[in-house]
Amino acid sequence: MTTAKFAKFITGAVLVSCCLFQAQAQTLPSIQVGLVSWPLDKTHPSSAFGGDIEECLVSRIHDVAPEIVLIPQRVIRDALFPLLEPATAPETEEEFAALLSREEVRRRLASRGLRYLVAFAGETMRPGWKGGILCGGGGAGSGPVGGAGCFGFAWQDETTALSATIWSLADANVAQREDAKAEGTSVVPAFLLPVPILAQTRQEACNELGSRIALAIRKTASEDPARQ
Amino acid sequence: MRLSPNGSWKAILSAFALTMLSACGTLHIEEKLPEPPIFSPIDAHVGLSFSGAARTSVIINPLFRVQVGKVSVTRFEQVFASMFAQTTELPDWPPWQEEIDSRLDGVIELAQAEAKFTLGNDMGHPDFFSISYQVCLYDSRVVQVKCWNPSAQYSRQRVLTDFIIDAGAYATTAVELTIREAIARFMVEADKDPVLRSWAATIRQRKTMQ
Repeated sequence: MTTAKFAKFITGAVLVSCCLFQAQAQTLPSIQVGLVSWPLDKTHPSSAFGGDIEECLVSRIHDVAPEIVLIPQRVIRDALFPLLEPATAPETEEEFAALLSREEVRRRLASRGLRYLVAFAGETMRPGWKGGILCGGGGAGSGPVGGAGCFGFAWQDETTALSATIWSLADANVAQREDAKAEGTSVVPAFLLPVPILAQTRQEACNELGSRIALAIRKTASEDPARQ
Repeated sequence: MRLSPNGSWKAILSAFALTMLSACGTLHIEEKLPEPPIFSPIDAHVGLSFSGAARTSVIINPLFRVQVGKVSVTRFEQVFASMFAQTTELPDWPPWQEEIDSRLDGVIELAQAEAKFTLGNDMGHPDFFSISYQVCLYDSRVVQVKCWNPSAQYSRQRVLTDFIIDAGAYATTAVELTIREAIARFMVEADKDPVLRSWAATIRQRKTMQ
């Protein structure tokens, strides 16, 4: 097989597999899923209305399982006001299940066609910078040589741990639990100029969790086709 | 027109003051809650009153102005409508305390809405916003059944980009979250309040006997 033929074969195979994948995604029935951050970080109440983790989960879940239609947490909190605000949200899983069992709550979530609610939580821990960088500057009297610069090396460990509970709204029960963890180190080498190379543990953990949530919902929904 | 040196200084100062005032924008906060709030409704016909102090509550600082009273009144109208089977807004005059309409089972009043916004900086002094309400329920004989004093605070250490990107959006979020939280606290507390439930039971009993 010549190189040109081989290239054509590969291109064709990729196109066919893409079309098949698209066709599969289009034929799967859509699954409406709500997303909320819970338990809430009460020191950052604004996280209850969106944030980088929510954005990343939405994007990842859509990439992995395009049939899942995600309803953002702002919409869920508005629909359930005042029961899911940072000051009033349930504190335990039993209380959360009781909230989802309330008739008015069920009615409002059902009116949006929601089958599952994903409650996600997590944090990034950064214990502090280690090492050191010294910066300084100076001239060389009347001569042409002078200037400023930094020299050294600093690093910081970073761990992001995220978790999600997938609630089935039909019976207000936990359908699945998923978690993801990513560890990394940010480094800043400095030779004249400091060059920060930051760890991306939030993105990594979130991508992993998003994939797991998507597959878990797809599996759970397929095992319960009667409710589709 | 010729201006005296004294007059020209006044004109310059007035122009400067006007420029400063026009720079001080009013923040737009969505007045209505997107959906009627959830509350176990009480079968009562209640008059709604909003005191002048609550209606006109406003935050003014060098960067922006927030009409806290206006937003609060609109939201509490929705809250009260979720709490009671029927509501009727009472006129400002004559004062409702003089005589309550015999068709009403009681009156609920947003008596106070006090807000504070203390601007910090991005160097270790957090911004601080707080709101406190007073909501009082009276029976048909103008006897106080219960007063609630829900409040909420929002404190955040600003970073430089918060204000560079959009100072208005940053402040709007702070005010919006805090108002929302105080109202949520009120509703959840009131929904479970044994005094309110006992008053509701009395009204139900009275209606059954009629």
